[in-house]
Amino acid sequence: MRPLKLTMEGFGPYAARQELDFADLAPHRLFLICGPTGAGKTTLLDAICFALFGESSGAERQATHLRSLHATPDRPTEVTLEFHAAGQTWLIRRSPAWDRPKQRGTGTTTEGAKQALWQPGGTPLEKDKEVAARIHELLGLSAAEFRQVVLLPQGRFRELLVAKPEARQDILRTLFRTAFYARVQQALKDDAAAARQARRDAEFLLAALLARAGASSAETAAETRPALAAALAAAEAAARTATTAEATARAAETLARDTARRLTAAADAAAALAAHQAAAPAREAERQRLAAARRADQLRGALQAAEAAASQATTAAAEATLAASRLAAARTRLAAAEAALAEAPSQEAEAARLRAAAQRLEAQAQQVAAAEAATAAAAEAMRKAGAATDARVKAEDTARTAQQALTAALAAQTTTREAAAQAPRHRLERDQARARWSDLAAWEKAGRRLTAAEQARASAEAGLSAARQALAEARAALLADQAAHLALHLADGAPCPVCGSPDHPAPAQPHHASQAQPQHPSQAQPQHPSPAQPHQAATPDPAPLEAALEAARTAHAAAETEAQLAAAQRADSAARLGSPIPEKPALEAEGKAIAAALAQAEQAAAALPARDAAAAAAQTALDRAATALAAATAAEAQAAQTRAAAAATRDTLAQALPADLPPAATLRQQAATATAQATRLESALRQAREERAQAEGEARERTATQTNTAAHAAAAAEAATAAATALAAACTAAGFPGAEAARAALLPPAAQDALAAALAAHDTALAAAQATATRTAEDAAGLTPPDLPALAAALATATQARTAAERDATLAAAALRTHDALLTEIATAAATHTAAEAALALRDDLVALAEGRGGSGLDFEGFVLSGLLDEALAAANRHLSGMLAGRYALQRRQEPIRRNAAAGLDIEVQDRWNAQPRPAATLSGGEGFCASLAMALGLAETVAAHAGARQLGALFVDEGFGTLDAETLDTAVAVLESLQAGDRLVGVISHVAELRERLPARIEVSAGRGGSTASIITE
Amino acid sequence: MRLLHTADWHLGRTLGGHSLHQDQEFLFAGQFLEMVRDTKPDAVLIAGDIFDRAVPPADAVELLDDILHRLIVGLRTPVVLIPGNHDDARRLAFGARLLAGGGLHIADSPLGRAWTFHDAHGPVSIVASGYASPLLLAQKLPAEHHATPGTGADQPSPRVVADHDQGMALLAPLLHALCTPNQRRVLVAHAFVAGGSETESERGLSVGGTGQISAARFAGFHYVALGHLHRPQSLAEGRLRYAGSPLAYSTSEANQQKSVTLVELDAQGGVTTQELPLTPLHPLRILRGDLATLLAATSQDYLALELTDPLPIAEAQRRLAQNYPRIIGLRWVAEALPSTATALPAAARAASPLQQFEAFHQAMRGAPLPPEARPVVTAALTSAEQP
Repeated sequence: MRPLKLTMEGFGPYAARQELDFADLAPHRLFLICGPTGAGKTTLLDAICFALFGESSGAERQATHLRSLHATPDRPTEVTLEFHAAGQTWLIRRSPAWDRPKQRGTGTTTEGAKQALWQPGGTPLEKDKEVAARIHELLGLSAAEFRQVVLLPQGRFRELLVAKPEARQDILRTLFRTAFYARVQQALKDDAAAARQARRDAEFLLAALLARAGASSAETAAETRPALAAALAAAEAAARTATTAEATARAAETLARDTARRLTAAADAAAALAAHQAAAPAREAERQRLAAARRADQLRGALQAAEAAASQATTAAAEATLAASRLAAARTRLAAAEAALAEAPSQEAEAARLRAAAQRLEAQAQQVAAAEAATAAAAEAMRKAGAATDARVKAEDTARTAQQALTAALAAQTTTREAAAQAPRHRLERDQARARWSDLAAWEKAGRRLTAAEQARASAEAGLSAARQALAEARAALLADQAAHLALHLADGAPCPVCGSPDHPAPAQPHHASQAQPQHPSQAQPQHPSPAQPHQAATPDPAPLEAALEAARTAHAAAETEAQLAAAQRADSAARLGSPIPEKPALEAEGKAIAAALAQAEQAAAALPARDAAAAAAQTALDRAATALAAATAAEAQAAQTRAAAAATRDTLAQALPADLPPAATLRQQAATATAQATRLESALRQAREERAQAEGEARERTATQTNTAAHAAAAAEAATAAATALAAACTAAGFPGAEAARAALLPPAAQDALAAALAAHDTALAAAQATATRTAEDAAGLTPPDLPALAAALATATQARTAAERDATLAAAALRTHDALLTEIATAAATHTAAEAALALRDDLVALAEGRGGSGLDFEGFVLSGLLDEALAAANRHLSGMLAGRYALQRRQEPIRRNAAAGLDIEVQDRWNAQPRPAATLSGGEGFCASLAMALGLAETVAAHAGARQLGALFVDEGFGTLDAETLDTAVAVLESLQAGDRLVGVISHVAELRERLPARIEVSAGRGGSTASIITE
Repeated sequence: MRLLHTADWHLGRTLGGHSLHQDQEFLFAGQFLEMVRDTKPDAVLIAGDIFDRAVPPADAVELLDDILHRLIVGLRTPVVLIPGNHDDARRLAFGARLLAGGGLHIADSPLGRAWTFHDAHGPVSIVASGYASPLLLAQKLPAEHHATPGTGADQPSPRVVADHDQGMALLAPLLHALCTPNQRRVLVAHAFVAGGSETESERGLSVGGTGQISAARFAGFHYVALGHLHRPQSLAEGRLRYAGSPLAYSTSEANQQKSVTLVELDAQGGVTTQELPLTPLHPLRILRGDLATLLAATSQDYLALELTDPLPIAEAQRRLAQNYPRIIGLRWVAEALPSTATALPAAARAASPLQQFEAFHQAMRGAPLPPEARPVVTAALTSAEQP
């Protein structure tokens, strides 16, 4: 299972909708969930767990407490998780039950928990059980297992390490689903209980059988058998004797019975013969009867013929009568038809008259109708003419309006165009104003420059004069000093180098001696930072002053030039500006005015196209209106013409008609009535004629029939008479007095045959009776009647004795058999009992083994779990050997901590460096964390391998890193990084700062006033 | 030009729970400064992993401050410093712009900073590029501009850097652009160059993927001073070199001679290097023997002990700890290590319930399951399978 995208709303501290797309973490598989305490880090795991299972990640938070307190009252709490499982993408959405404000009325109503699981584009499963089943199928884990294996919640995975063995067995049982083994134990127990019951049953059965046998044991029962066998033998001998006696008695009785029988037979035969002879006269009568019947048979033919003829005659007479009556009826009908036709001619005439009237009326009606139509047409034409006139008036108005509009549009266009035309002029003015503005500015600048230049020049002049002064003074001083200098070297008597005089009455004094501080000429120049020149003794040097003068002169000249340039520039600008020099504000105002005008003109220019368009449109409208007007006028003329024509037609027709005619409809009706009457009359005539023709035909037919039938009847009567005569003759010949007698003597052939047969039989019987009587008399000659009762009594006694003896024998045999059967049953029951004991012992032993009694206390489930735990520990140790320098390993404790406690599931930690096992609870916080993490990882891998190896694509670790020092934290993070192999997403919740530095991918959870927000950051 | 090249100081690191601060202080404040004083290089290059953690302990920071002060102000030797993958680049680059004027040159961006130094033959550009992950590099590199067809306007598109090798391929032209053309140029970088050999103590640069860079990316630099791998080694005929860590940080480095590298760059850009060996205060060694022998001796070194006794002996580590206070690992040679195979043995999973019960019987009673019990057990298993 790999989560792809989590969406939460109103869940825990998250009020607003949060969407976390794990794909944003992109290449990073290991990421950190960080944020301040209580912001909602663990809630993200709660959300995943809730979405999948409807429970939170730890048992402390109930599902009903998950609704956010910040959520708006009408928005539900909803978590949607898109995840990848079993090679496919799935989405699951779940919301817990919540109280929603009612849509109608006040208060809240509870909305139930909802869930939906679907694939994109598929139909969703929405029932709780279906969703749970499918999730279980996809993930292969229940909620508890998920919490143990995928979400390692705050502080919980350490509990597996330090739990008591029973609690650990519970946890492991849930994880590894070893409830099957508990069921095996239970099944074995049930089996043992059943075996115990079977043994008890066998015991009871054996006891019952022994009681029945009246013995205390099987051996005792066997001892009574010989007595029973002897009794049986005696009874059988007695039975045999009795049987023999009975046979003798029976033989005697049989002989006596035979004698008696013979005597009886003879007597019977004689009696029968007598009876036969008594019946002779009756036989004779029957014989005669038979003869008479035979005679009558011969007359049969004649009798039949006579009868047939008589009936034929009767039938023919009846037919003749019927034909006559029918003829009479037909004649009556004919007479009636003739009477009906008497009136024919007058009716025909009437019909013709009616037809003529109808035609006339019809013609009138047509005329009237034409006149009415013409009137209607005339009115219509009048109306249309009026409408055409209205239309024309309207068109005129429209044309007028259009004309006005066009005029206005043209006017506007002209004004705008004119205004727009001003624009270039204004632009020019604007440019000019700008030029003047810049000129003014230049003038002012030139003015300033001139002022500055004049100042410079003035100062340059001053400087120049000063420099001149200084130079002059220096020269003077130099001269003076020279004089003094020369004067120093003057010696009396030596000629002065200047004037040659040997007398020096007033030698010049050094000039500088009168000054307190001699001003060295070189100081007229600016100071140089070069090392000071050696101070010349009191001799001013004019050279630097000259240089200074030159410099000042140059400066002055430059200033002069500058001033002149400035003046020239100024004059230039002034010339451009013209006189008087405009004022700045005035120029400004002017500029503004021009700008405004320009803007207006430009606006107008912009509006110009619109105006043009408007004018064109108005023109088009006007054209259209004019066309319409022309059309309307033409239509009006046309309508007037039509009206005139229609009126003329109407007048003509109206004149042609006479006055006071009813309307056309009435006339037509009258015509129709007349026509109908005529038609009726004609048809009645037709019918009457037909009737008469039919009646004639009928009468003709019936006359013929009647003639035929009368002839026929006469013939038949004759034949009947002849037959009767013949019959009388035949009867007399046969010896009958009359035909009646002959008929009476008739008998059907069957009766005759029966009579004959009966007579024959009686004859035979008589003969037989005679024979029998003779025979039996012979048999019974010389015999005497025996005494039957006495013999019968003797036989009965013998039979009774035999029966009793046989019964005794049977009873004895039965008793022996019963006893034998009982002995067999007892043996079987004893064997069953022994077997049941053995089976019970076996099962009890297995149960004791399976439940772990009497030994290490490890039951079957615990044994399997210990094997699984070994696997899990091996997996855990693979991880743990990489942490803490491979010092610790997890192993299963072999002896129980306490006696009688369940063993085999205790975990202890082996300190490999000291070859000593230690209880898991004695590890320090950091060591315990590493061991717990290794344990959890090993357990997760083992569960995944046994639960069908559904790839666990995600793992979340909640807190616990705070107890680690830096080095251990490093290795823990390295272990977590190694879990990313196999494309597994590993999420870590921690507030440790070092992890923030190590893990570049983060989900940052921040708390705010309206709830928390979570966002993904990668850097 | 003479340069001293070192790297991977990892100040603040612990080894086997023992802080290495004292050893690091002994080494840097002692031998290292002596070497700088004796060789008088024109610059010291520290190629990354200055600290072991993003937020190092205070005395590590203090130590670095002290060493740098003594190097730059005391010995007047400029220092070029880059952050490695253990450092937090932003924290390490505090004050970089201010400190550059004073002689401490910190590369505060992976896109590189270049400084020009002068020797007798002319100027030399030293370019320093801090370590950056491919993602960070993608953010820092200037966006590519593509002309969109049709509009002709330039659209900046975000960079995508797939791995370290591609990152360096994109970065190298920018680094060259920082130098003056036709000057000798030296690059200081922190990376894993293909062909180098790792020890156990380097932190991986990328999970799944090697994070290695091919040596060809560094063409054009006369010398590349590298950091990250803790074993001193040269690549590309000495042009690329790892100075290695000054201390051993894992058992795999137990017999390595640690050093700093002295680099001579001549006028044409040819390079000769020389290793200057370092001697630690407490070397890291692997010690092998049986318990009795080991208890007869004592040592202060960092030791990984391998005990040759046939069976593990109780209290071994506690007794040895009295003689050897710095034990970083202990192993019993005769014991098989837990295998690191990740697959569970298949046999454990395939046992049927009946086989498991037989195994259970065997384990508890010491005898195999009697044949008459077999049908009973099978029946119980069958009925348990139907829940």
